[in-house]
Amino acid sequence: MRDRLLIRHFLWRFLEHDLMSPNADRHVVLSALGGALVAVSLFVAVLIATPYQFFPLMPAGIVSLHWLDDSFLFTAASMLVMALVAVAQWDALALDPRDTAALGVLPIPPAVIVRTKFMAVAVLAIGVAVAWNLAPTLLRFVAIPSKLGVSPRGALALTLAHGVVTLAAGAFGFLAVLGLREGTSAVVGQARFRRISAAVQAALVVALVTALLLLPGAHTNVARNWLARGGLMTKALPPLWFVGLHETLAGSVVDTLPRTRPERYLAVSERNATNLYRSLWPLYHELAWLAVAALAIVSVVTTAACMWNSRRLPVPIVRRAHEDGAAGRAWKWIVTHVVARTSLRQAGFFFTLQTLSRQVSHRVVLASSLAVGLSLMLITARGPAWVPGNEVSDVASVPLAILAGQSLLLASVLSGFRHAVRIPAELRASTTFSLAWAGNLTPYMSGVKLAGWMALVLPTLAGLFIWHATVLGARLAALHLGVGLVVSALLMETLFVRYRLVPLASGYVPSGELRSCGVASAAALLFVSFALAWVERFALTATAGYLTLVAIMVGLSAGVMAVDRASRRPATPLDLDEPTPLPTQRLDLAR
Amino acid sequence: MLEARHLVKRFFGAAVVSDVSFEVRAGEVVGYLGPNGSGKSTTAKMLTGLIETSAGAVLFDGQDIVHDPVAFRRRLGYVPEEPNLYTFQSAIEYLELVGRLRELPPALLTRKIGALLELFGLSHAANQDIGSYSKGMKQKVMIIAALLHDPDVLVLDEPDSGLDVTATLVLRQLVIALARRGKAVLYSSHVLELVEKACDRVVVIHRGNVVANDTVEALQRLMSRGSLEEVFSQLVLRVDPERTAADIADVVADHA
Repeated sequence: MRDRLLIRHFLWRFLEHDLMSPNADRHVVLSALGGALVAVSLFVAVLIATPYQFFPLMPAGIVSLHWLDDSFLFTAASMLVMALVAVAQWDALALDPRDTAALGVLPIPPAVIVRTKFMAVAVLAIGVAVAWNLAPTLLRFVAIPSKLGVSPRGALALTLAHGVVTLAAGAFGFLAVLGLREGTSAVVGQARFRRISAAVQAALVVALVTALLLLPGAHTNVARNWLARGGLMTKALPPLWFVGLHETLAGSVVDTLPRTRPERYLAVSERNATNLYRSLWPLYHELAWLAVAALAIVSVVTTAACMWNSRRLPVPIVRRAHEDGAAGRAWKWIVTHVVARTSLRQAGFFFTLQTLSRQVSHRVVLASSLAVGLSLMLITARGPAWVPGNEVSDVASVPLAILAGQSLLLASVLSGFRHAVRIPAELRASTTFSLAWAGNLTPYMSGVKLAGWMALVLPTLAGLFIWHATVLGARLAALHLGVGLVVSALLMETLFVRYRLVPLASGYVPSGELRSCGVASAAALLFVSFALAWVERFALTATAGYLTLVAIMVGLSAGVMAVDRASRRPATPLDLDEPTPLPTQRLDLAR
Repeated sequence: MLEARHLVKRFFGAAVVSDVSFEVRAGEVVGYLGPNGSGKSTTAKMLTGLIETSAGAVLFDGQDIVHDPVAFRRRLGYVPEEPNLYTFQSAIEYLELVGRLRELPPALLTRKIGALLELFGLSHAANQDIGSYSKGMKQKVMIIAALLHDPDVLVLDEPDSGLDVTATLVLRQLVIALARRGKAVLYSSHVLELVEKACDRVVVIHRGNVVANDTVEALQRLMSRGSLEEVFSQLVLRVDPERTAADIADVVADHA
């Protein structure tokens, strides 16, 4: 009874999260998250299964190769989704000082608190893994071409193997992140871990979201592109281990089917596919062993690290005072005397930097936007131009994708920045703004934008410049950097045009923009980025052309800024009340 | 200077403040007393313009504050009941934010923050995250934030909550000193001794209505009582504290 109560308490705590509004209804949040998981996985399962029904005569060899692709997609997706869930929960995966404060005073042995906490973590992981993998597993039999002649027992074996393997892959993803967190904490100590935890979490968000977004493009021709090549790369990709496990468990169901003569136009492809698939059997077994060993090792290491860290209940860690050193004082002097000279601009500048660097929800938004930008860059530009050392010979031969990549990444990062500043730093503390607000949004907003530009745009452009210098040469890279600077200024002004909320203080109001305009915006972004890249490539051929382009962009930025300022109202009092939608709004009964 | 005129506040139809009227003049400290849930903090929030009134008006220098709330808040200092601060900031960072939002000159702001942190005994923790502060330390930060811009009117909602003895004594003298310099101070508190010694006048609220509004001496005379505590007990206490305490002890001891 007590254990169940504690587990339920810890499970609810997963929903009381920095990424969720403290005022949100937990049941609504739970339903929305569960529904989203099931709906997305169901959509993917139906999308994957449909083509098999359009080709009922697809022969066994070709089916086996396609199933390798599907297996890769499902195992990788399960692994990445579960890893992302672990990253999203991050600090909630372990006991924290609040638990000690609330439960430590009760007559409950610490061992019980620790045990129930990890049982709650296990319930969370199992719940999410089942919600994500249930629909694809149950619908796996739909992906068997009707004329293939798979027996019901064979279909059941394929379904079970799919379920076991995707759940195992998900467990591996979840445990790997949990193990990384707990292992690092055990090695460096809790106090040091608190300092690096945020950076590790943000890096994982970038890596995992990028991988998830690139997955749809990476799961085709797995046998030829990944498995047949062999070598270290094949054995270093965790999803392939679980593909090997799947084939070891159930690959023979299709491979051992009695072969009928395929259609003539499929004969050669079928023979090649069968030969290729069968040639990989030793590799499947090897990968299967790797999957089992990796899952066992990560389970043991994670359990050991969790147990080590839970020797005693956590106590509050008071962060060491962070007094400014000489560099900090110099930076502050430069900002206050050169960059942001007025009080309100300084308020916006420093508060934005403090919030973006210290608040989990804001960091996750920024990391996700960076991941989306990187994915767009990687999807749109592929080929030898990406490889450093393949320096382009002249401006005309510069691939458009390289030039467009800069705008894509900047647009993504700045969109993330705009979204991040819509989230209040701490809702309850927003009265600070209500009381001290002088009513003048323009200078404060200017400081916010300046902070975003210095904290996000400059590092992004610096990183791109290093890569561009190796691909395009230093001169072209420097010119491209100049375009990046004016593009970022234009983007920043455009994204914040008619923005009338107080960044990081006003209540967060979710908008339907992403759902209604998301696809159109992404398409427009791609079109504009490539169009701009085309213009830039043309302009780079002559100094006058380049200067004209830069001047036009600067002029556009100034124009957008002027329009925005002209439409601003005079000083107004601040209303930070979160506009809560009426309970009847979703049914449109409030009209 | 600051006048509450027939203030009413209803939440979901239920009146939390029914009809509250009083005035705080320049150079005066007005104590605001009442039991838990009597409407003290709601009144304070209406006086600062943080929540709208259901009826009535708040006048500052004879003008309704809704006409120019920004100008009113420039001259207002407010210490709320709950110290809601940005916990990821240090005290210096928080006070710098407040000072900058109030557009104080940078040099003056730096000087004032340093001096006030020192005087309130917070300089040793000035660069530490507010999240690690005790309630009293947070309260001190809120008091400094309310004073940074040298306001003309101060609304202090239980500012002594969580403060140690020394800080409470300093606060009492501070309130008196500020009033001598012409500030209007509304001081809401449960520490009757402090109110008795620091306040020129006392407003007592009970169930959303003002039940007394006079000087401490006049109230003592009127009610024929020796101390403010006795006056307060007679005005608002509807239970016998001794009897209630005994009943609580009985419930605690119940093991059946």
